[in-house]
Amino acid sequence: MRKRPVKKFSLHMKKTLVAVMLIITVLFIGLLVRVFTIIEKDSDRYKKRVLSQQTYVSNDILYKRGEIRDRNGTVLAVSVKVYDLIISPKDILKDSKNGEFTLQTLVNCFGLNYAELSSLVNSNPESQYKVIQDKKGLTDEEIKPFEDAKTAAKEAAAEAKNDEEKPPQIAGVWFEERYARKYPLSEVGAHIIGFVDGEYGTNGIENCYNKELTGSYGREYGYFDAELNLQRTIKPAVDGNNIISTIDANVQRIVENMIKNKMQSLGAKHIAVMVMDPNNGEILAMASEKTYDLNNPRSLKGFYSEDEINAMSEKNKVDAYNEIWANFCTSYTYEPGSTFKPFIVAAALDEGTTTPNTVYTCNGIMQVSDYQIGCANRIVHEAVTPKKAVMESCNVALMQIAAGLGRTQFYRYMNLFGFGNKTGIDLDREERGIIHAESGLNTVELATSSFGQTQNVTMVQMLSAFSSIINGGKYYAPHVVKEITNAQNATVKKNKGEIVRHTISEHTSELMRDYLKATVSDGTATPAQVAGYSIGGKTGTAEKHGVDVENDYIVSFIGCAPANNPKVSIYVIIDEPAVEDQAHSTYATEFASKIMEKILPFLSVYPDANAVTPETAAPETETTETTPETETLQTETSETVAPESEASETVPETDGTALE
Amino acid sequence: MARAITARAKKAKQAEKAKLHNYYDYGMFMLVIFIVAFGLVMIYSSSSYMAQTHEDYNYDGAFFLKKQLFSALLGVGAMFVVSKCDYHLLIKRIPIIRITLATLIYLLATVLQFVVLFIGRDVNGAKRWLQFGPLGFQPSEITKVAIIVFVAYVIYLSPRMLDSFRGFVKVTIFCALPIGLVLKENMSTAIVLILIMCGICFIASRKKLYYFVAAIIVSVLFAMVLLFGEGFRMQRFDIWLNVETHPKGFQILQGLYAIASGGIFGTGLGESMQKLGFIPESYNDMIFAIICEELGLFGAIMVVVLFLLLIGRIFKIAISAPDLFGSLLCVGVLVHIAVQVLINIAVVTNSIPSTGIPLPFISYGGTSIAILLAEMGMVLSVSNRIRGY
Repeated sequence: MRKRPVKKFSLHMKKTLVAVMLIITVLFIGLLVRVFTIIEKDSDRYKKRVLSQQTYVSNDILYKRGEIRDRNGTVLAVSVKVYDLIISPKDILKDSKNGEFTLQTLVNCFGLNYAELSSLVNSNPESQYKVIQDKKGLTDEEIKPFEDAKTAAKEAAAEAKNDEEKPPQIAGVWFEERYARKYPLSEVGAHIIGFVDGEYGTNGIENCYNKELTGSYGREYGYFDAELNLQRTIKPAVDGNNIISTIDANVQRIVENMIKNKMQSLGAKHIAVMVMDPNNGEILAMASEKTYDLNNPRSLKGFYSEDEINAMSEKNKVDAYNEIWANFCTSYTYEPGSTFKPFIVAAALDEGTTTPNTVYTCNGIMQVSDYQIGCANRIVHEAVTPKKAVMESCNVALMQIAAGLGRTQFYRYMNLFGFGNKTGIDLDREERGIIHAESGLNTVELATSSFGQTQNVTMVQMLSAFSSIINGGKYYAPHVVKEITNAQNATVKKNKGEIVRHTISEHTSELMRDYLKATVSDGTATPAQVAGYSIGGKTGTAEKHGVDVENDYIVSFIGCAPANNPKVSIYVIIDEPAVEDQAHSTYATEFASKIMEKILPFLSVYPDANAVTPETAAPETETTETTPETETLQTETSETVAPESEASETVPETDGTALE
Repeated sequence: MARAITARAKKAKQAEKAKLHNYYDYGMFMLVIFIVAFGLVMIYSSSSYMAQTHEDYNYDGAFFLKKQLFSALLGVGAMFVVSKCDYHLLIKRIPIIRITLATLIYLLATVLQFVVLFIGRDVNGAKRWLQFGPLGFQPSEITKVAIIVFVAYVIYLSPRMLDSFRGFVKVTIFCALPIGLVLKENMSTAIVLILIMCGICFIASRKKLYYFVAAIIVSVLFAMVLLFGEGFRMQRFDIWLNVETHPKGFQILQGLYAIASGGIFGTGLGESMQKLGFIPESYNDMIFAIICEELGLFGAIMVVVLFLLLIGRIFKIAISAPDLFGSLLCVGVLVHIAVQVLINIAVVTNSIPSTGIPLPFISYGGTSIAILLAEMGMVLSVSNRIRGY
């Protein structure tokens, strides 16, 4: 093979390349110097031009905040275009004839005071922008007469033959567009909906879903193209998404009205009610005695007297707002009392530390460590099975069941049921409550916790956990929003109910449904019965503890309907009923019965049992299948009969009991 | 038997030696990736507003970014593959057709350049694009590689040829066809091609004087055309001198506004006002103006330093390449990048009459970035052959 020497990049080539590199570097530096001189020499002049061509044509285009609707499409919150009246004194004063005409038209169309208006104009002769404070948020109809007068004057001017005949024109008046948030149902569901402060939602859905509800501003701008023609480009505004809530506005309104009536007839520190669909975690209604007008959220009238409001400092007011705006059901923590028992029994059954046939002995009182703890009124229940323990609300049996469960499992089930943790409900400012740490669950704590004392919970925690007990053990994340749609009403996101975890087995759940049903039919919760329905549930009477608390109680009822196949779960609490002897759960239980009687038909839950006799519940499935038609008919009839019912909302007023 | 063993031992020793001394310029690799990433950020910043407001781009703010990202990924892949191949493949004869790959690329580029004149896609009145289904590309970019490879190859065959003016004319004649074809539709790219060719020749030649003479003659001719010529090119000269008053100076003037309003540290990434339609296609040739506006003089220095670093790397590889061909390839790529950066920035700062040359790696343009990255692969391939570095 012939071998050729490798041709190399010779020395002179290298030298040349170095020279070329130097030239390139020098040129680069030269260009940077050029950039610097442009910045240094022309900066101010060019910057001004950039700004002037910007302001020349460039406008924001408003977006519309999304609507909030309830599950049936009833509008709960909507943005409406409104106008603010703006005047420019400088332009009005330019021509006395036009100015006079303008002021007169303003007075005629908007009922303004002429003297005030002309003094405003005359005292600000250089101003080009004055907002008329009384005339903010005008509707289309309200500005129409003025716009008509303006066009009429213009048309007349166009017909005039010469300047002498020209009628006076409107000058220096215009309307600024904006969107105003309206809440058609004002108070209904105030704590769930929330309101808007400026552009940002405060409280409730308005706050939690602010990002979805907010759209983005569009922009109209102009620029010169290469041929120096002015080009207009519009980037359209994007309207916000709509939120479909799980709330049923009818039910919410009924519940709120009933609470109001109850506050008058019975009176209490707090009354609160929650209604939920146990099969997906959708909250159907959530109300307390406290509510406020969403269209006027900063009005303290109705909560405080005129003098009190005047005496308030800014900080006091903020505190007052926070109290009024707080959602009771998610933020109030308390000791639940006996309504907590089903959780303990369910846990023990599920763990097998007790069986449906286990018999406990109740002597009315039990020695726990250094304390003697007993059943209510020291009633002696004698031989008690878990079922009877729930039915009769036997503390002694519950204490034994809890002891059998042991601290580790007890603590584990507390966590499974979500106590001591936020439920993750899509509302702001949720509290987590307080439960005993595992290490703190000694015999006494176990005993008292078994009947719902010494641990603090919220209503949402209770009802969500209860729903999992009756629905087969599925813990759904409680939520108030079921769907998000875009401005064209196409679905963007759906929340069908997310199973967060499994709490107990289907079998245990079946037993619990049976126990809870028996509690209403034959146990302590009989006042909760509703004619024609099978109801399951548990009462509670919790002693309140605190510094200046004495003989104060929270009475409550937690339950579901229909008992064997729950479609609705409900939780009612009455905090410190205004009576001498508060310790009677009957207040809550009866109230729950009345509420269920009214709202169940609205929630398409129809009678499934013959009154109170649970024995006849054998052909239950058949009954449920055959009844709906007739029931629907009855509901409809009752609606058409009720004369006061508001056309759009189909809420029969107060006594329009659907099924009688 | 014994011979077989010694042969094997020798082979193993060789392999070990190769392993020890083979060098791969990872620093340059990362530098290129960095510049490309910076370019993507600037493209997004400068194009998103335009893309959001125009139906042609589906109102998708990331429209240009996505397209450029696709090309960049393709290019990085190509860079990696090319860098792992031996660049000597370019001058090995392909078995059946018995011509070298370098010649083949040259022929291919010429044919494509010819074809584009007839079936090219018409953009703004010039046929520069070839469309294959959804993919379109500019053959002129391929011609750049072809010129680099082919000129390097020709000089490699007989380095002494360039010692006389006749040799240079010979090389020019070789390249005249593809460059002439580009010149017909795209003068600015043709200038880049000529500069690449001259650059390689200048460095390889032992006699420099006649280059200066030639440069002076060309400049005089050019000036004559500008002064006495008519129409389009003449007008550019006019705009250059009277950028603030000439009605067609709009684009350049807006670029100057952008640079001036950027100041020392700029208005902040994404804060450019000039990209809101005042500088048409600001993500393209004028992207340096947006960089200056958003990142200020500081950003401009950074960009220049990045390119200087890159060119420095290529310079180092050219100096230490194992043979003349490798060195000349690197020189070609070096000149290519340097020329484009210089012309682009000079145009944006109105230092020379305007002509459309993209800023390498940074301006929007799929073919450009993919081909440039492939060229980087070639340089890396050369670096891979350096021994005892």
